[in-house]
Amino acid sequence: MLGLIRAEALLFYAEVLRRKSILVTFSLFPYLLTLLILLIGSSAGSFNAFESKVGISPVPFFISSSFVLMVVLGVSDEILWRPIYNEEMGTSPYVVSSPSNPILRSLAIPIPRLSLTLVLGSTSVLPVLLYYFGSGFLLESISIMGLAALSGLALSSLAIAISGLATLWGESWRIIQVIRPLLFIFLGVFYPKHVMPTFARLISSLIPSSHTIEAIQTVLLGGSNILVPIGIGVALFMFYLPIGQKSLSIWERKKLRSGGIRT
Amino acid sequence: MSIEAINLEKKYLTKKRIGLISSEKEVVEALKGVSFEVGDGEIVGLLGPNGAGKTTTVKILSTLLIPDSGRALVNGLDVVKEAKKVRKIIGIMLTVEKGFYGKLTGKENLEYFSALYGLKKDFSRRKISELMDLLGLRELGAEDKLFEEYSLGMKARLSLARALLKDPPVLILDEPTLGLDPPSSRKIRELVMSLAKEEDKTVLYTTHNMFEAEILCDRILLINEGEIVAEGTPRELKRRIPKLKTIEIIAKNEIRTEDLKYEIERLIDGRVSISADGTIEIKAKLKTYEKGLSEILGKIISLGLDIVSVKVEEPTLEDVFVHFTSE
Repeated sequence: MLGLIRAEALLFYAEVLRRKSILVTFSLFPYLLTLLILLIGSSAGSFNAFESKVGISPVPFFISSSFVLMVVLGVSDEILWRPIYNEEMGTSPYVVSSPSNPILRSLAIPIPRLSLTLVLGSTSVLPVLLYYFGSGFLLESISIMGLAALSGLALSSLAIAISGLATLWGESWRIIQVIRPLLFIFLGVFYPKHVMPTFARLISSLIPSSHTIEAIQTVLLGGSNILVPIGIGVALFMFYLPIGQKSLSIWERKKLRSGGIRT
Repeated sequence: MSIEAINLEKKYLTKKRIGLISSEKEVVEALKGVSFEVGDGEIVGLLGPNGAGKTTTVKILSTLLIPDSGRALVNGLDVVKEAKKVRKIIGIMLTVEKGFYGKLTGKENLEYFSALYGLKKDFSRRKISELMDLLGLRELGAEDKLFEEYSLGMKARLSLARALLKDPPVLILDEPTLGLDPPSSRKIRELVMSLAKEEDKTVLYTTHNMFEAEILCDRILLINEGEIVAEGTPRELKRRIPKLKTIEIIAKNEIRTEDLKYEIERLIDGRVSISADGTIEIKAKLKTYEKGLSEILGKIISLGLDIVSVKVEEPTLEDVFVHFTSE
């Protein structure tokens, strides 16, 4: 597994550091998204109205939420797009015919990205939260960043399960593009779970990261009961792991039968 | 036996478009019972026209395609049931122009794939360095160059380097010199040759290049429309086609020239031209090499001519290819 993570780190950091635009986008993403939300929000209400309703100023709330969203979407993007990317690069046959375990290979994919986002968190989440809540909030700020990384990891097994099945269809990228906005809604990152209608709350509860995101919101609001949502998130991650494995195996079997591994 | 294909069959389901919306399913028979063997340390060429079934065969042996029926074994391991074990002992090269990550250097790409192959860090570092030298990539300054900046020749060398990373006993190379310039093609051929002859690696090699197949391969398998239509050494295959060999004889006769053309043409089935200085050029067809040659030469000597040179043109491998694959 360590070797696979090392390989993925090599690929990811080469892509990011040699394509400067990606690095700039990563760094600016939480700020740009927060700015957008605040502009839209302030046209409909006020900072005070938000604070009295949610219990926290919109700036630290949205900067943290945008950061978490970036981490989680980053993980799902990496996993969901990789089979398509490999087909584009022509590396697919060499990856599939490697003796490595497909589930471990997939789990290793988002880890380097998480390491970078944690570093980037110290340029967005950390300074903003410390500015708003003072240096006494350092531990909470770090734990928010850690929980964001956990939210990303927690999503990986579900993303693998979806990726395997999605790439069975032709033009799978269309399906993947639909998953992105759905995640945006059902993660509960901007639209907290407790205000969702029942059906949406039900769907949201099936996403492992929605529970760890709930824990982040609890920390932000000064609460401490985070172990239960973290536990549920981890349990759901474990639940989706064998499904992910099965999904990859179905994908591989079907591709190998139909001749779908393009050389 | 390093590679064994036993009665491999494969059909593909394709869609035939009818108008804007409708489509019809079509079954394409890619392999119709392909069987062959490749011995240890042997280089076997798989030749055939486009769509003959070469890539399908290569994909099955590379564990990238499951046959509908039949079996394929690599070093005694079943490519379907024991795919994971087979993947550890084969090195594959499927395309030259793609197959690597553009933003990684050649060396980094090899590091990436060696991690995927589960190779130990020390071993892979040493192996990559060795391969960089062996394939001349270091010499070309390609080691630390991004893959997207590689020339086709560099890409082919890097692709062969990846196939050799695991130090596999069996190599499956699908058109490894396609589109390469002569020096790069030669480099690849020389390496493949030395890998088989010096390191006893078994090589299955597909190509459209007849010259390459002839000089490189110990044996050739000709595949057409999903079936092996001929098999043998290049020499054996040439002997099997009915095309006549051509003999070109230059002879001298300074005494008689009158009626000589007619006399020679009466004796042999060929074309004769006599120049002013008495040089006689004879072009004839041979039905069988040994018998026909001595017969013609005997007849010419019996006419009192001095033979200056004899050149026999054999059918080429291309003639063999065309003979067996164009019905």
